[in-house]
Amino acid sequence: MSRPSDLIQGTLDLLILKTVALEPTHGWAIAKRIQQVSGDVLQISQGSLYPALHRLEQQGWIKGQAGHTANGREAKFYALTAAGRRQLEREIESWDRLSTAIGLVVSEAE
Amino acid sequence: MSGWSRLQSWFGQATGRAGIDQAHLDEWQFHIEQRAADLEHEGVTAGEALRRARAEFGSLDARQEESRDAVGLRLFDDLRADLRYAVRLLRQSPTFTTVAVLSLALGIGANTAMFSLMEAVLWKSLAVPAPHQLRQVGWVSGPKQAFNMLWGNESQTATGGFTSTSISYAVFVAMQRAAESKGAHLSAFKPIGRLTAVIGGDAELVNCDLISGDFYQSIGVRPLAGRAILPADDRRNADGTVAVISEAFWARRFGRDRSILGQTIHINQVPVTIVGVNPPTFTGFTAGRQPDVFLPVTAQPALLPASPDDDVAMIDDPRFWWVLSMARVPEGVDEAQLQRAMNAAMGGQVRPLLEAAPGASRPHVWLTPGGRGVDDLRDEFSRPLIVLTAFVALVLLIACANLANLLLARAVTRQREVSLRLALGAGSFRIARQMLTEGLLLASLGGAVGLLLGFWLRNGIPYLLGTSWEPVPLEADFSPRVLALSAALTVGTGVLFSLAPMWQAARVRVAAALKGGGRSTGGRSRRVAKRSLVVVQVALSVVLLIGAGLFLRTLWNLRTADLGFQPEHLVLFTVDPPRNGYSGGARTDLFAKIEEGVARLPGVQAVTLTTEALVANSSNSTRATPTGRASRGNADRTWVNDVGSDFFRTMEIPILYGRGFGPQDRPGAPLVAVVNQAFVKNFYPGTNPVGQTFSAGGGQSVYQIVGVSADARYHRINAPMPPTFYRAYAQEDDLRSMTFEVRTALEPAALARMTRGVVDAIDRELPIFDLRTQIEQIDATLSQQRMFAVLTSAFGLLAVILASIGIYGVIAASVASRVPEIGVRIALGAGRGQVLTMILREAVTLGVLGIVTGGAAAALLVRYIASFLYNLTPFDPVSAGSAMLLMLAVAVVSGWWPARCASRLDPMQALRHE
Repeated sequence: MSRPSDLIQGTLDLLILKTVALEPTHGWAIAKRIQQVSGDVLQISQGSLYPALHRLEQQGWIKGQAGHTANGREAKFYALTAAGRRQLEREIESWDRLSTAIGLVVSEAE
Repeated sequence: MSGWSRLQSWFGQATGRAGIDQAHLDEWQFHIEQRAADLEHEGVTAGEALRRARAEFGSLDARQEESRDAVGLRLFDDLRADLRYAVRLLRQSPTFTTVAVLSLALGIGANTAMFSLMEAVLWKSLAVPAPHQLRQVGWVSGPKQAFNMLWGNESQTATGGFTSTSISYAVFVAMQRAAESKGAHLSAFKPIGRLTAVIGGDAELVNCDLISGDFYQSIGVRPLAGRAILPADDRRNADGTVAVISEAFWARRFGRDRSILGQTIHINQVPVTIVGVNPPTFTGFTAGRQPDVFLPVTAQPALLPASPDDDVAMIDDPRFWWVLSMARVPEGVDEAQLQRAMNAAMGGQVRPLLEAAPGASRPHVWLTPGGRGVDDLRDEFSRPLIVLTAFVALVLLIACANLANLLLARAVTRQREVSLRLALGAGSFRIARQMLTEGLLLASLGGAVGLLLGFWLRNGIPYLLGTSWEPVPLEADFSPRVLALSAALTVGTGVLFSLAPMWQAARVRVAAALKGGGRSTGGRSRRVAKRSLVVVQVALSVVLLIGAGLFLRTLWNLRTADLGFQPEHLVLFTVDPPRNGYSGGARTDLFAKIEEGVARLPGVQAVTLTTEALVANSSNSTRATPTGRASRGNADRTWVNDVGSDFFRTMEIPILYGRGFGPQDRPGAPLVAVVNQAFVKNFYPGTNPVGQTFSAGGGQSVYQIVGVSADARYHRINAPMPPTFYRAYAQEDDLRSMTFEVRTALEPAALARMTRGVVDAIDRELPIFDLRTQIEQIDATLSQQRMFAVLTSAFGLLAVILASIGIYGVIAASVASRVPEIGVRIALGAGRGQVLTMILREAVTLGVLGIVTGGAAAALLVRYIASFLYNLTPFDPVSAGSAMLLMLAVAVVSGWWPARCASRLDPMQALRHE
């Protein structure tokens, strides 16, 4: 994915928050998971991933903490905060509204 | 996350950069390793996987920047980088930095000192609660007044009437009652000068203020220690009275010892119990005075002599107007109603006086804002301050022009750097911001040093106004307002002189700049800019120099003005016997004894005494009417001084007709007077008045003229010699303080010692004070003009130095850019002298342009200082001419060194010069 536009940046936040909501994950795993679950359609580059992660962390929606991987390797895991959970709900709601609206326009009979 | 914790997080990221960067690196290292592991799973070799993973991840620095950008730190990072770069640049050129910082420091420091003075004179409010509620009480009347004795400030209005702030005590009491009925509170106060205090057996002088009993309550001053003066204390009491002392007096005299509370001292032989200490922030209502002791106003009859005309105490005399008053008007009180009520009260008190003086006009009350106390300082100093601030602002402008020029010169050498940055993708806004940051950094450095300088200088200027025997009238104040103004000035200056290089940087054309060494297509406009800046500098300097010249000549004119008497070798001192010890005739006897004793001292050629010292900004005036003529109202105004019998010989004032005073003019003998020429011109024009009589002082005393003296100055030099009549002090009773004038070749200290001996023989506890020479006394009245002359000369010198640096810089740069051309000229046979004159002509042209512009500007501006000049037209050719010649000389001298270097160029080297 090239550098995202404004629209897609909001969506990127949604994807990350949702991924982290399931369980605390580190950056590499977040990108990998999004790629896998979306069937290789959504590939997030490092240039977009880490700035987004750090911004979300500064805004208080995710929180970084030290942790260990399955291999015992030290890494920084991100977990969803309470405020982040509320933000996730808001994002999902606005994504639903948006995608419904776009669908309505696109499926309009010619 | 709340806004506050977000701010904290941002701040933490801004400052803890190293740690955060490392954390990011760790995170990304992990990411790369995971990616490499994935690639290995797909069959790539370990080393290749790692390489590909790294390449995929891209530049770590770029990632760092993106992360910081996402968090909102981009601006902060950029500014920090700009700042570090600016610091590095400044350190690389220490001379430039020193010169720039010093010029700025001088300009900003001088301005800061001015601000602190303006704070003290124009802005600072009294340190009492709600100063905006205070109103000073004054009145206005028509030309003829119902009373004729006033102690205080009185001035004439434009319509010939009078206005003053002094009222009689009876009027105050009536107005106080009226004010209370309307919800306001009126308090009285009066600075009464120095009284003799005996503390622990030692006699000394203390500065005293009288206040009414409700003063502390209504004005809202809370004592630091002990208690305030209460309304109950404000009663006439035969056993003495109470007092509150100032914090400064408490520290100075009693070392802040609390045991002084409750002790009794004697002031003018009245027992006074000290009951409290004022807070250090309150020093009475008159700025510039430092009263030591505050006493209730009803203590006046015991402390001070009665009013001049009869034996009635001042507070009981309805015809003696002397008390000042301040009203506190709380919120919600109708001020117009209050003023009407007070006016009615005053009218009631004044009615019997009006009936006794037909044709007199009724005074009307008017209230002025009193939040700054009695605004004598503002009246006296506000216009001079404005003039001086204008001068100082000009100096700062010259410094800015200098800096702009210096920065423009540096811009040339930085063209390569700038164009490189542009080529690498920096926006011209970013470049301009860099220039601005450098400018602001320079300005901040200059401002910081300037602030220190201003702080150090702030006492210097009031010191110019002080004398050796009186306290300094002004105290500069470094309030937050002054600091804020100084900071704003620094930032404004930085922006101002950065404009030139910023504008320059924005116009650089990349390709040409990268190729050509020091030349660029912007050269011509830059040359014009630099030259215009120098012309502006020279013009401003000329304006300052002309101003300085005018003030210097004014001071000179004043010091060499004809006084009418001989001021050299005259020593003055003042004696003020306490009223309780000496009253009426006893005072006259005391003075006579001292006069005799001093006259007998070896080394004393002559001695006399006067009620008012000459040229001391103080005088007595009254109305005189020649016998048999009708009163002419204000035209009958004359000045009066009570003098000793040897007055004319001591002061060396010639007697033109008749005689001076002598031993025959004793108490009880017929009243005599000696008048001066101006008096004769006013009252007896064209005749010899010796033998004629006139009445003065309200018609009770009739004087016979026994002599006519030459005109002499009275209270000021820069006022025409007023019509004056002199009385023999021996024939007056109830004199107040007298100043002795001793003609002697002795040093004042030596004379003081011997005089002390004389006085000790008469009364050990009688202090002698205000020892000074007549010259020092006269100089004290010239303090404002001296301040002007000293300061404007200093500013002028500063301006000249800055302008000469500017001229030097421009000529040197011009020579540098013309080196090949000069080489050609010399090679073709031009002589050294010719090259020298060619370069000098450039300097002279700049100088002349600036001088002409400056002269024109000065011609427009001098009218604003015309009122400060003495015996001098604002267009004085000597001042203007010498200022212009000086500037021309400076231009020539500044351009001389580069011209000399140019004339000594080796043509071969010059032609090879790039």
